[in-house]
Amino acid sequence: MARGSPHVVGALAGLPFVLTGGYISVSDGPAPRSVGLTLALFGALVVATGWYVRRTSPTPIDFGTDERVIATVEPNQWIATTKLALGAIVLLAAAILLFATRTALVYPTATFVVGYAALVAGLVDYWTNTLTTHYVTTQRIVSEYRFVSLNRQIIQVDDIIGVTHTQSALESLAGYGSVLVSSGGGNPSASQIVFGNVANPHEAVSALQSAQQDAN
Amino acid sequence: MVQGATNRRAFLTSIGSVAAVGTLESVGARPAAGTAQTENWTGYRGGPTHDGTATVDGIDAVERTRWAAGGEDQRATMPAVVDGTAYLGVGARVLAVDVQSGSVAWSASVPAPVPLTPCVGGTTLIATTNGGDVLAIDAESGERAWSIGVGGAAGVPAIRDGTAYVGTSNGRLLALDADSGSVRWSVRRDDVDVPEDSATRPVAIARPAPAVDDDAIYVNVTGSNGGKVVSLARQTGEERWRVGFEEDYVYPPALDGDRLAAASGYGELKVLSTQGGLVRWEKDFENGISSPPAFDGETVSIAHESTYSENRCYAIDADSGENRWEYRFEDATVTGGVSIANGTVYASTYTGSRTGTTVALDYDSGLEQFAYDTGVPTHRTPTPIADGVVIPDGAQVRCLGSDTGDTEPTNDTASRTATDSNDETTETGTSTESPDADRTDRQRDQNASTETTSSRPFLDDGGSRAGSRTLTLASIGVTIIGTLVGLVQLLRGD
Repeated sequence: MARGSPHVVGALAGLPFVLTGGYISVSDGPAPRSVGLTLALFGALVVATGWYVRRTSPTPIDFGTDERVIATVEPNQWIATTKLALGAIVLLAAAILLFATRTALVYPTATFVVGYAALVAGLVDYWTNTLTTHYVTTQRIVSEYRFVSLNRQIIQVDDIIGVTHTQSALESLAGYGSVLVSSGGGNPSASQIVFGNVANPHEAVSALQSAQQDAN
Repeated sequence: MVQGATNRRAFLTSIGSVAAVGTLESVGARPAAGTAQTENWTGYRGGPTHDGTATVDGIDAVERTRWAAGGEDQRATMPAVVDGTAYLGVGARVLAVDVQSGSVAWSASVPAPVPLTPCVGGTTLIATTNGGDVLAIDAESGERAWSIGVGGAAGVPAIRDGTAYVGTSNGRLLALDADSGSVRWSVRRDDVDVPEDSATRPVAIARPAPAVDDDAIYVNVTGSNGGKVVSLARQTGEERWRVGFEEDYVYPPALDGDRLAAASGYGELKVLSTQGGLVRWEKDFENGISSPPAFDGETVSIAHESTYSENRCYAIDADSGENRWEYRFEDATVTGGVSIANGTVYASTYTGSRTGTTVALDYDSGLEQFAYDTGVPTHRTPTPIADGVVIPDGAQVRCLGSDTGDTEPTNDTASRTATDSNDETTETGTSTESPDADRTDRQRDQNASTETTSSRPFLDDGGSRAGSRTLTLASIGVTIIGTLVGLVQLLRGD
């Protein structure tokens, strides 16, 4: 089962769309009924996806007896939550412009577009983070992601040629960052693994260095 | 935005006032704006001329629903309105309703449902029923004076100078003494046949509706080889002339002075001379005209319904046939009836995303003054009244007022009476109807929706009511694209 509460996030984000869209669909309000139906369907899709993500999890990795997990790194949800909150606020403003004012419809429509984009980006980030886990072991760096199919990236510790730690100014203030692990061999598609939105990037880097030392 | 709407409304009001004064000078028959007005809409599409033109001022805003009548199982006809009283059929009843208060002066039971607007001449009301009855009712007391069977589905009645004229779907046309019901003359045309799809057409179109002037009657004749407008001598029923159309169904002609405007569903519009049926001019509105024309002597107004292009309401110069203006119905899939009041053209439509809308357009410019959304599809013709308009709302009719009013409808209003009627039919197992409180709530909700839905443009520069379609496309497009992008990102795990 996936980490966190993706179904709660899905319900919180989707149910307002279901309710608002349903209201527009059955009432003679300021928005066309086809818009209400579309919004309601989108809301239902969000709720259903939240439940699906909750029930989805990567298959357990079979680490050998001589392989020890040094660190398990999971993306933090701070950025995703911020996007969700911003999206919700902007969408609320769009609803107020549509239902409580008589401004030209371009304003609630434009506000809706901005809020909707932020909300969708936040949902995608939240669920992607929920379904992503990085492992640092004594032999491999493993990154797993499963939504419908499993996507597992592996870099042998011996193949690591570089570890890059990046933090924007904002990430530095919040204590977040990303770690890029580069490989010099093996499958070209697995030549890089990114630990994105990591809460303690320094700890991740230390774990990687520890794995390299153990391998040597 | 609200301020802008107010300014626009004030601007349009001033234009309407100037136009009304100008028209009064040229015609000399219409009351000036602002004076006390009484209605003279004595029957179907205004009275025996069926011109769809009222002598009252149009309104440029709706403040309240005064009353409503009818319901799903108790269909209400559009009313005849004379001196402040509306006469209409509601199921198998005829009601007299005060147009200001909605109070019911009388309610008369009739043998079968009344499908078409009754007509009033003097103190006599003539109504036709689905059972083939023609009835006369005293317009003051509601007492039935006489009734006769006409042996076929009766059409719209017209009354003039003490004679009632009624046609039937099987080609019979009768002139009846309005006081006694005795037949003055009766003719049966042998060129009338009923096309197979007649059941799908509004009865006012599928059945004859004679328009009457001093000398003649002018009646639409349905035929599977093309419809006609036929002129008959008013005293004898003898044919004077006929003008053919390509389409099987010809709408009831609108008569004004020595000209009449007639249209077919195919989009043929002809202005004819009453003397000899000479075609003054004709136009072809490809694909269709959806209702009888309104004709006030200066302007012919029609609703154009097109499969391939935007549906529009047109105002056409009655002398030259040139378009004066056109108004595009936003989202409309089916257009409906058109009527003319002083300064205003009313039109009703079915719409795609909303279910029904009545719009009020400035008579001179075609600019929208308000749009009133109803909950049920409809396409009958709005009836202008003093300080208001009666609009179709599915099986209901709804009386809208431009005044604020002081009280909600009371238990003796038309709304209540319609419920009473339903109570009776419920006993016979044919009807169920929402309780009075529900109806009152619906009226309140409708009043509220008027404030939120009328005349809201997509852009600040406004113009026509161009909002809902753009809103629909933008919102649905963004939602679908955003959802697809999100799903792709989730699948890829980016």
